[in-house]
Amino acid sequence: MARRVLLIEDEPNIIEAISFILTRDGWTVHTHEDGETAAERVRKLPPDLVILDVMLPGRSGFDILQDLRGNAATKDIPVMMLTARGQAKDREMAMQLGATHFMTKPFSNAEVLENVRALVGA
Amino acid sequence: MLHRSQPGKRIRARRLEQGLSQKDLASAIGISASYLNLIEHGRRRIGAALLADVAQALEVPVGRLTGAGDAAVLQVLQERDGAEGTAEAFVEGFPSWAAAMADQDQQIAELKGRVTELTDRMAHDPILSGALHQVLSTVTSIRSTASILVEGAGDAEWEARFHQNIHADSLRLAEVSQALVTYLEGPDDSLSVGPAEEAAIFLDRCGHRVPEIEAGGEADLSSLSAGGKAAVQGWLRQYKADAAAMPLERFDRASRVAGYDPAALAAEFSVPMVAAMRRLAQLPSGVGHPDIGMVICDAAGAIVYLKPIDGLAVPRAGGACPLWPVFEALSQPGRPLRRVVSLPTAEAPRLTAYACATPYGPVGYDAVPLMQSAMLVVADAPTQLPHVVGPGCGGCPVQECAARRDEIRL
Repeated sequence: MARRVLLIEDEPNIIEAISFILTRDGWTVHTHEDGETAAERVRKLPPDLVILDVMLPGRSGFDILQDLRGNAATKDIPVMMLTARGQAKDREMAMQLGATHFMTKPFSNAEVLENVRALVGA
Repeated sequence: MLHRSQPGKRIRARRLEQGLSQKDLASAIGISASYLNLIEHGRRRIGAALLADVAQALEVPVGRLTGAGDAAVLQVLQERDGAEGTAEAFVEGFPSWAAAMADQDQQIAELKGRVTELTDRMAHDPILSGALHQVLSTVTSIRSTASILVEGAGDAEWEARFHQNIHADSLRLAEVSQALVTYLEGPDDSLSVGPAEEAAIFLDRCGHRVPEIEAGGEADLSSLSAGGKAAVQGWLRQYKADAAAMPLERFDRASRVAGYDPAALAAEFSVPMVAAMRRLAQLPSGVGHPDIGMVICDAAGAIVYLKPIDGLAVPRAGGACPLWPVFEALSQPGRPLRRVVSLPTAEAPRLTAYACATPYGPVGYDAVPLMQSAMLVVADAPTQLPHVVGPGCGGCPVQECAARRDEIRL
């Protein structure tokens, strides 16, 4: 069975592009745009990897990450955070809260693929 | 969109591509970083000779910096990640999209540079934060979509869809970047260059030192207007007097021994402390001295002289943070201060600041004494905990500050 990625991001064209390259690479891609209900979506799926944007409508990516790490069912799922370039504090916060990895926008498709493969393969 | 009349933007974009700082490039072509900054922002014209030097240092043909030779589209696309071999086919197949994408690439490089500069402000200014988040999201989307198109999506329907997305993103990026530029550059661009600003630019360009005077000769002022020459005369007279009282070779050695302490050097050379400060700010760069900046203000807090360095965020035009020691010294004339200071961001360098306020001008019975305060800042990486000083309230992240000017205080 294809491994599952849940992409939590609110920018439609980014969702489309990342979904396309991951699907082409053999992943099953689920997407979710709302911060408020994101943690619940992760619990219901649950995916092999979560890609989580920091800035989401409803609830920040940091809050969602904290929820995921505090729940037995989701605490071990690798989470790759998407942060804005140069926001050192965001990166520190993401790592403190238990993110597995972070990527800074704007990233390249090659970076996305490389990191997704490394995080789930590991 | 970039215009042919704006080589500054192209220089900046290319410099960032090369991973060079303004300081790196400026020193490679023999001008000061602040002058390069003015050129990059289109506030100074660049002559043909200097442009040729820049092009050589950035390893590009001059045409690429002036916008001529727009076969550059192909070059730009070839420089994209993973575009080798497919770029030519893309340019042939979709010439107008390819041109749009090349333009976007340059726009992206330029915006990336701006984003890097504004990182610290970004977290604390809601307007900037919102706009930059949009820029980054759009740039991310464009980069990802363009990359898929360059490699080929393998399906006509998908390709049409991605073309549509990239078009929508480019419109959004244009709109957001226009709004950003208006927000960031609005008030400053309307300032015209008066003699004082011309003189300040001249000093920034020469790095606030005149090798000809050090060698016993005269400064070359041929690039200045009559007003600019007049504005710089006082500084040059003082420079000559300081150079005579503190000859370079001996002062260079002594400053290293004294750890750049202006009070110690003033004692050694029997000069006022402010003279030793001025001379320290004239030390040559690139021979092992730390970066040294200097500010002089009058009793009203107006900045009358500024030699900027990284971390010395005192705006020439006013609105400076009153916590800088240069202003503190005004309340204790004649008493030298030494403070370790730093801007309130993780990346800001710690600086050792020396300040002292002294009277100047003629003295007279019952006349109001004219005071000025001078501050030298030395980037010598002190280890003590710093006094936090701000870049001015507008860009300052410290909200709980008694010195804030956000409201009327009676």
